[in-house]
Amino acid sequence: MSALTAALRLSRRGVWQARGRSALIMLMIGLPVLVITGLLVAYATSTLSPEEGIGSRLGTADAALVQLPPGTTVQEGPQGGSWSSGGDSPRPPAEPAEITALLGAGTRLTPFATGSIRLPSGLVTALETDLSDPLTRGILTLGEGRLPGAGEVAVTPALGLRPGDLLRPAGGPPLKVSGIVDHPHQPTIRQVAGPDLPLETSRGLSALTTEGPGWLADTPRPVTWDDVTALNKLGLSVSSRSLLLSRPYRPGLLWNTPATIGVAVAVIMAILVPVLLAGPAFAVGLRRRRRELAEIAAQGGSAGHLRLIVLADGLVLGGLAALTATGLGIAGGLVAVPVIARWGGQIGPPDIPWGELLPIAAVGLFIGVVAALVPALQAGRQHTATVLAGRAPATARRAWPLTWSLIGAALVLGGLAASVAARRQSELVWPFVASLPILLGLVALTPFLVWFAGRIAPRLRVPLRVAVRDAVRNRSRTVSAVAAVLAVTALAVAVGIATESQRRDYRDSFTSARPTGSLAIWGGTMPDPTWAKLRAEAARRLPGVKLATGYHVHDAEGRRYAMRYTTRWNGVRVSRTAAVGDQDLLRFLQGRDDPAAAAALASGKAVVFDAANVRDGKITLRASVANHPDRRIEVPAVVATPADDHQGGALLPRAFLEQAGFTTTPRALYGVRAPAFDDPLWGALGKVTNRVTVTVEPGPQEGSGPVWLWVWLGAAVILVVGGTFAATRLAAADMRPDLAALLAIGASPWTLRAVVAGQTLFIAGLGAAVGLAAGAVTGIALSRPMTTHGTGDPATIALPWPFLITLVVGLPLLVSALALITRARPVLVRRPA
Amino acid sequence: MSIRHGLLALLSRGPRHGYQLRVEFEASTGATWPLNVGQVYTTLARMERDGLVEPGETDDQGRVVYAMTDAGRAEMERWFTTPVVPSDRPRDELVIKLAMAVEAKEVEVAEVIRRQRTATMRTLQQLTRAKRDSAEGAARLLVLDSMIFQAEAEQRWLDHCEAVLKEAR
Amino acid sequence: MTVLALAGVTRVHGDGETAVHALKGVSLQVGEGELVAVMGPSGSGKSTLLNLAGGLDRPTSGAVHVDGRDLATVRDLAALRRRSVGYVFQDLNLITSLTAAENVMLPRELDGVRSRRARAEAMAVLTEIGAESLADRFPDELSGGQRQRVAIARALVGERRLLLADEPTGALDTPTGDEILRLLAARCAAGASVLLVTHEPRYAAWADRVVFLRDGVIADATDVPMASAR
Repeated sequence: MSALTAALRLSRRGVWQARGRSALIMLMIGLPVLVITGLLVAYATSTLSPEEGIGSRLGTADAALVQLPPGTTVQEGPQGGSWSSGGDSPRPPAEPAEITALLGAGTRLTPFATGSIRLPSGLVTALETDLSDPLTRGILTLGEGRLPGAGEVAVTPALGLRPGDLLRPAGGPPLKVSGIVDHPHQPTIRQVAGPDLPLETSRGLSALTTEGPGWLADTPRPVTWDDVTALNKLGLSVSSRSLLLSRPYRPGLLWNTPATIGVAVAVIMAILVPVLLAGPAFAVGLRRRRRELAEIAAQGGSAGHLRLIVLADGLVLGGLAALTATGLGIAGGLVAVPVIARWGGQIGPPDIPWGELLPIAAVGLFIGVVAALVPALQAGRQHTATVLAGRAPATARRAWPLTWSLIGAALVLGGLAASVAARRQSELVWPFVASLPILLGLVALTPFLVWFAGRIAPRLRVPLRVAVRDAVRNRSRTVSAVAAVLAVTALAVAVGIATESQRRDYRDSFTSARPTGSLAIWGGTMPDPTWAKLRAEAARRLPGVKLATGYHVHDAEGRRYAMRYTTRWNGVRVSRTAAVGDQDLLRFLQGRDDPAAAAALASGKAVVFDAANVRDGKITLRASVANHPDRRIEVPAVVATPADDHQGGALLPRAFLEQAGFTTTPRALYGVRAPAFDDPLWGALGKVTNRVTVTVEPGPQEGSGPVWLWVWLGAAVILVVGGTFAATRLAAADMRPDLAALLAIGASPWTLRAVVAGQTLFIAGLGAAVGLAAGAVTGIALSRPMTTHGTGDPATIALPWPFLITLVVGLPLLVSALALITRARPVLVRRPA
Repeated sequence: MSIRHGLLALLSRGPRHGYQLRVEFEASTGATWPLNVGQVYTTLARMERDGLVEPGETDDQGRVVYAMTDAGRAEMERWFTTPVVPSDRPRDELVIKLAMAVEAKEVEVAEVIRRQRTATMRTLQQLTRAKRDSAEGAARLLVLDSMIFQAEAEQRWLDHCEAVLKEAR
Repeated sequence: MTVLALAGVTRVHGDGETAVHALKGVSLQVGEGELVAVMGPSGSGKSTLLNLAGGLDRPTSGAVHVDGRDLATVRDLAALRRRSVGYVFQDLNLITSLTAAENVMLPRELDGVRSRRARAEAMAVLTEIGAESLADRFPDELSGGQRQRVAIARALVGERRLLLADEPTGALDTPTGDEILRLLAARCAAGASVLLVTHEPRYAAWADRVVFLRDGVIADATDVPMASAR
């Protein structure tokens, strides 16, 4: 015990004496702890538990009720909800009296409708309610001005309006801004609230139970599942305070499915990389302290004591690093949340997930001890008399350890085989598991790789030769730095390739039957005069736009048919409805004149853009009609090229359908122009008839990939730069006598910097090159399960070239350049001892 | 140390006549101990009296060749097996001179030291030159080294004196 | 011909009350083929003198001329050390990661000479000083004396005629130290000039001229150049 006390005292003094090196070691151990702690704190703070989030949803009410559209039924229960539309007997909207009767006497309701309003600047979410009602307290808080009254509106700061300004929503009278309100958790939200708004509700499935007219209810007793069932029957979706709060809450998206990646990355990064990065620092420290240790041995210290002393270094530095990093990580996470929220995230009350942070801090301490382990074993083996005599310790016969290299090679081969096998699995975790033996094998192979790469030394110019030779001769230092860069690069490359493949796959999966940026106006069933009015109004509102006409298909009994077929797009089954029209529609779909296609259409053939669906010059369609079995129709067809890559679909000539006994009626208009968000067209057409749908084809949306993954990659880059730089500074400190000798011989200061930079380049370049190979294997193995959707879907493998080049070429050059401009300070003038 | 022991050592290589002994003696001591040929013969005569050497034939130039007797060999072995004991304190003029210079008035001690040091260095340089130029045997080199070490010691002692006197001032 | 000339050189480290006057007006000349030793105790300014002579440091006042060139006007002092002046130190001498031959090649390669030719020149110098068998060994496989030999070879490779040696015998026993001085003296005889800094009289005595440095000034010298005897 007293030996440990003495060892810890020695370490404390040593840590203080070698402040620079200690700081570097702490940086390398602390950085991952800091990054992970910061991410966890930021995540916990920016996510809301039900308790934290309920105020912004329900205010002080006991339940929020949303009226579903007619014909929609909903069933909500403890296991989640289900709803269906197209019910046979549409019931009228619920009356407040019905609800009050259900929830018991003393129930108070206040209208609370959610949706959006259309402003010149775009759609803005909107709350139609009386904000002065105490039930709404907590949903939006008044920042300045006053709460809105009739004909007034309150806005969030993101809209950039001042009290007194006028808001001009489409489809309603202008509204006066009475005050600025803040959302409790989303500082960047664009939202308006007022008692009287021209609300639009998107009735897509995703928004079914969250958007629409409704109420906030103050009930005398908590709302139970039985109440919910009863309310569901009235066509109301219910969010109950008591039920929301009693639902078990599991925080931490970090621990669910897509995050298996995150966990694997975290585990490997958090332990392997810092160990590799801190290892050489301890090794250098050991070299410095060899004499001190020998003197302790001469005073009666056993090998065990020496090991203890070096391990104590790891304990002290690991402990300090973990403590500092956890503190800084918590502070950083808390500071980062408002900053991230400014980009559109959300913010909740500060949350420090101690349950996760403490194990991570412990990992930091553990890393310190593990990194000190190899030097400690070396310390125990050192020959006291040799060290005291000042003679160099005997060097190993072989430049690289045979056994470790063989084990490494075996692991790499095993890992490659496992990766090939894992490629066929659908679970993401298997390629990651298979990547571990590759990574560990390469780490074991690194001494051999360093030796092998070092063989180019005699052919290099002097600064590089000195750098490479020094790197190869100081194997313990170089190997672990190279291995660290290798591991980080491999992970970054693997995740990068997988992410890019997924992004590409997502982009490729977009398909549409119309060109990007085009407008479609679809009429429902309507009499011809209404259509004529609609058409005239559209033509008036879209001057100069050539409108192509599409047709509805009816049979003799007046039943409307849809001509459908199924195609495969990016491996996924997509159902398409063939358009019906003439040459003008063909020109619209192709975006140009295609005489061959035009001739085919004129001769009564279908023009098809999904090439795979045309077999033997024919396409098979299902003519479907409500409440009747489908009919199969074969249409002679030609394949043509559409306007856009993502476009599919088919165009049937009217002539063919009329010959087949159908009638065609014009009910759709298409034009190559996307009206602005505040174009009067939207409202104007709606005024003619409500049986019209106006839509703009937005084209493929660029998915940015999961944000957290990019955050991980950023962390990887920081680790590579930080780690390589730290290792190089250590090397530079170690090479100081050599650099001074070079200076005396007549090397210019730039030559000295080139030596240091050369070593950085060697370490980072070798690590990055091997890491690229290892990462590519894992990345490609990962891409398959990430981009296949069912059997027959080919995997998308996309290489993010700019990212890879930045990582593998740019990063080593960057750290070398950093080393080049950082002053390598040798002893310029040697002072006599 | 006496001349007689040196001559005995030379005679251990074989019979020699007086002149030959003188040349060899000077060669191996690096001319640091000049011998008069008369001294050689006088010493040989005394050694003959003590039974350490015996005269042999006369060579063609009439010089008597001496050879070592058993008693002489015993005496030589006794000499080599007995360590040299520094006898009495050397009455080194330099030491006395410096000591007196410190005591005396109107004498710049540092100047005395400086002059002496330069002179000693010249001696040292000469010895080193002699060593550098000598191509002969190891014995002569070792004798030169001995004198170099002595001169070096004197030089160091002078440095030491300088430092001590500087402190005292 | 004078290879190295220091005229009224002073060097002050720091300023104000903490200023240390390492050299206070030193004038010294080293002729062609001359071995000059500077002797003095620690702190007498020996190493400062040597650093100034090779352009590792600049004088506060006074002038240093190497091969007739005023160092104050020389921009690239590193090039001077590659081409005109060679240093030999007690320690921090050889680059540990290069072989003996590569160490000797270094100044030439830094000067832009192609590796093949630099190696040939290095081998020539190593052969001259009888160290050719050490060429492919790494410094930690050499004894102290062998390392100094290689360092001297490195200081001499190329056209360099001035060798500045700072306690080159410091870590060596006396026979090995004598060997190093014998080698330096031989190079002088072959035409090189050597300025040797030492605190050991036995090594200083190898010099043609010994200069005593005390507290930054030259206290005395064995002025008659012994070289004239040659």
